[in-house]
Formats: sequence, C-alpha cells, structure tokens
Amino acid sequence: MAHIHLEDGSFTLFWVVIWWAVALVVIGAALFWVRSAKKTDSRVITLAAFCTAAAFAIFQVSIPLFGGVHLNLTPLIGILVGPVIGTFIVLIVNILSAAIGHGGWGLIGANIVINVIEVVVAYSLFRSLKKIFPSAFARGMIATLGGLFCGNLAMIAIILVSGVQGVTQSASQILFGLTLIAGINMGVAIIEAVITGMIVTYIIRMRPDMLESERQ
Amino acid sequence: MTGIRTGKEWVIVLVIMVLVSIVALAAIQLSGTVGIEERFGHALGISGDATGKTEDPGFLGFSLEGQPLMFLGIIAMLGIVCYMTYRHFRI
Repeated sequence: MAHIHLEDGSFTLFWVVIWWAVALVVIGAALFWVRSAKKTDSRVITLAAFCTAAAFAIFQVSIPLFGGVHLNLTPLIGILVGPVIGTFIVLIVNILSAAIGHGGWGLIGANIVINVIEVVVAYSLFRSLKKIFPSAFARGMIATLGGLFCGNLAMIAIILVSGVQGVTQSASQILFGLTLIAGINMGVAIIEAVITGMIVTYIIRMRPDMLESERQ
Repeated sequence: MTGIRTGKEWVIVLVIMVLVSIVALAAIQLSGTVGIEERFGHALGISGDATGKTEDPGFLGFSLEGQPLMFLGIIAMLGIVCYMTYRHFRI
C-alpha cells in the first residue's frame, strides 16, 4: 500500500491546503454522483460497511515483514464497491486512522488522493480485464498490483511536488529513497494481491450478485 | 476479444509476480530491514524521531499503530454499524 507516513508539519500549510482542496473536490464529485443516482444498491451499502471496518482494522496493524509494513485493502474496496462509494470509505478510514494517532491530520488530504487513485485504478482494471483474464483470482491480483503501483507513483509525485520541511537530502536523493520505499511497497502488494484475489473469488463463488461486474 | 487460455493467463500473472518480487528484494537489500517510518526518515534525510513514532514490540512482531483503546473503541463501533446494516438490508 501507499501512504505518506509522515507527521503533521512535514508539508507546509500551503501544500496541506492544496491536497485537502484536491481531496474535497474528489469527495464533492463522489457526493454529486451519489445524489444524482436514482438509488444506491443496498448490497453495495452493506459491503461498504464491511469494507470500512476491515480496511480500518488491517491498516492499523504493522506486519513484521521487511521491517514492518501495512496493508490497506484499497484495491479490494475499489473492486467490491466501486470508485464512488470507495472514495467515502477512504475518507472515513483516513480520518479514523488520524484520530487514533496513525498519520497526521494535515496529510489526510494527500493520503485520500493517493488511496482514491488506488481504488479507481483497481476498479477500472478489474472491470476492463474481464475478457483478457476470465479468472477472478488472476484479475483481482493484476488489478491490485496495478492500483498499488499507481498509488506509489502518486505518493512519490506528491512528496516531490510538495517538498518536506526540514529535509537535508537533494531532490534526486529523495527520489531514490522514495523509489526504494515504492519497491518494498510493491513486494507487500503481492501479499495484498493474493488476499484480494482470494476474497474476490470467494465472494463471486458464494454470492455473485454482490459484485456489479459479475451480475450479467 | 476472447479470453487468454487459463495456462497463459497464469504465466502472465507469474511473470509479473516474479518481476515485482525481484524489484522488492532489490529495494530491501538497498534500504535494509527497517520499519516504514525509519525508511521514510532515511529517504527524506530526517531522523527517525521526526516521523514521531516510538518502538512497540507488539505480539509476535505484529503491533498496532496509534492508541490501542481508541482502536478497539472504533472497531467496536464499526462492528455495530456492520451488524445493523446487514440486519437492516437483509442481503
């Protein structure tokens, strides 16, 4: 997963406001979409509740792998509930995480942008690759890896563009360091891809009506 | 477009997994096995303390970020919301 693991004060106030503004525009668009829809499927609402609980719970656990890593299940959220409802889940999980002291409040905007990118890319790949990868397990894995790869690119871009207060490294050194973090995150993404593939396959076998992409 | 035969489908997945694993292992070799906060600190040239984290040994290496009591409280609240949603919509 990609998440900016820095505390409040890392970004200047200007960039905190900018990323919060971007996040609010995305959330506003999602709200507009939901309001303009005739009715939200009750199955999606129920899945959204479970996705929020699962994503929040797993995101707070530091897994003793490669020195300590996190999963966040954003690609699974995208696959199960889509990008619109997924945006709200990402918002809730980031706010609740900051509330318990995991991550800074000022970085919620930037982290929402990163997580929404993961949700949207995973959702798009899972739907668009159906004809190429008929197996839901394989498609779920590819969608997860694609989503998390894009999330890592977004994380690097946001940090490089915003700059971090008090750093001693040059831009190229920071880019190198962040690329290493992205590389390790992609190793963790393999685990997340397997978990996502298994959950998606299980849901499709037991309740294929729960996934919009599998209902035809 | 027709689907890729199952064998080829898995070959593609396997190749992607192997490539990603090689990249991840190379990144771990270069950065060492340190926590995510320390890794951010090294990448940006700030001290580990600047990321505001303290060491928590946890259970079998697994540890919780943030305040455990708050975590449990929120998990309980989310659990209740899930139960109520499940009952209400009867899916």
